[in-house]
Amino acid sequence: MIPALCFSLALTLAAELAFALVWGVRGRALALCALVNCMTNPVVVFVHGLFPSPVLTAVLELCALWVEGACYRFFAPDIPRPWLFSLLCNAFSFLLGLLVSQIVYF
Amino acid sequence: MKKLSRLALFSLLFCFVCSGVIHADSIVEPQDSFYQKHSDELSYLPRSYTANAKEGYVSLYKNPESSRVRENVANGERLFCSSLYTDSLGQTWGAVWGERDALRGWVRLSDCVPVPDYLSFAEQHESEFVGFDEAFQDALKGVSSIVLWSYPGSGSVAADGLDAQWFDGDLSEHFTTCWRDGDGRFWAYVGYCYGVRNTWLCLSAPDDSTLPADPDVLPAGPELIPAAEDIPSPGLPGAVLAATLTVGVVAASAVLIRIFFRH
Repeated sequence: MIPALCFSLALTLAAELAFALVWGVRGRALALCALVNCMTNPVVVFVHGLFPSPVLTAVLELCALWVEGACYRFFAPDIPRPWLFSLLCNAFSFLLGLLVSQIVYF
Repeated sequence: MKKLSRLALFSLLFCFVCSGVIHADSIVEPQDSFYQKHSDELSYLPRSYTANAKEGYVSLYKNPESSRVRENVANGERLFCSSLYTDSLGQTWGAVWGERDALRGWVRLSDCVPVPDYLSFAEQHESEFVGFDEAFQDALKGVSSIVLWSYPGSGSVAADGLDAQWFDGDLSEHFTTCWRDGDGRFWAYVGYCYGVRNTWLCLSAPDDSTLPADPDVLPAGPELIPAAEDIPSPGLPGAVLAATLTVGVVAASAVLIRIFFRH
């Protein structure tokens, strides 16, 4: 489980920080983006590893979306449209994770 | 900004189309590395076993080369294995699968007994197998649905209500391995039929699902050892460490956010 946690976090950070740069996030806000994902991704991956239920995972992911959006809203007011940013950022990192998984399996 | 919004909306639509469900963060689950590393040494033989170790439980290991126990299973529980591996000491291991094709672990097959199936039947009666009897060429005429059995005399229906049309034409081409039981019933081995594999069809009574079991068709198996009263927990060193790391990373991140981003 630990390798999965580390790999998932690394991939998430790479994907979401790249997306953040495209979104126009710079400096301290970028560091916040990294910290916020360190706060949410391990929890989601760990619980998913213990209880691989699609419904539970979807609920956790929505909670992660909300936590990240709230952090961006309150701690980095210079991030434009923080809630949309959180939604798109996570959608992008999910898609990348899906592609990586497909490549690994095949 | 308009261009970025359009790009963002397009990306969102693309993601929704691909994902179907809102799903955030990357969750990557690596495949079992032993399974992939030793794929050439594995033999594929899907079969069910009954746990039957002298300790009263069997241990499912992470892999045949690991000493880490993932799960301890009480005697009597049925385990489904599909892949076999023989280690350097000659010990045969089976990969045990659970729900949603999740690998539960590897079990020593010496701690298990096979659930009587078509292989058990073949081991016992292979010398009695015969070819198709032309007298049964019309056995399926007028029969709309057939019953397939685990093996002759098992009393265990593998599949019921299957369309007999699957076996159209010359039955001797479908049924090349046959057997006649002690009551004169004629059986035919069916390798595959509508997704069901390795079963037997009673050509004497193809649609009868009430054929009785014959306890003498297979020899009595080894005595089953009772399950232990206390099954030890395998310990969760990996999960505990993972939980500790997760809590640590989350807490540290939250503290750093609070310190450096507080207004």
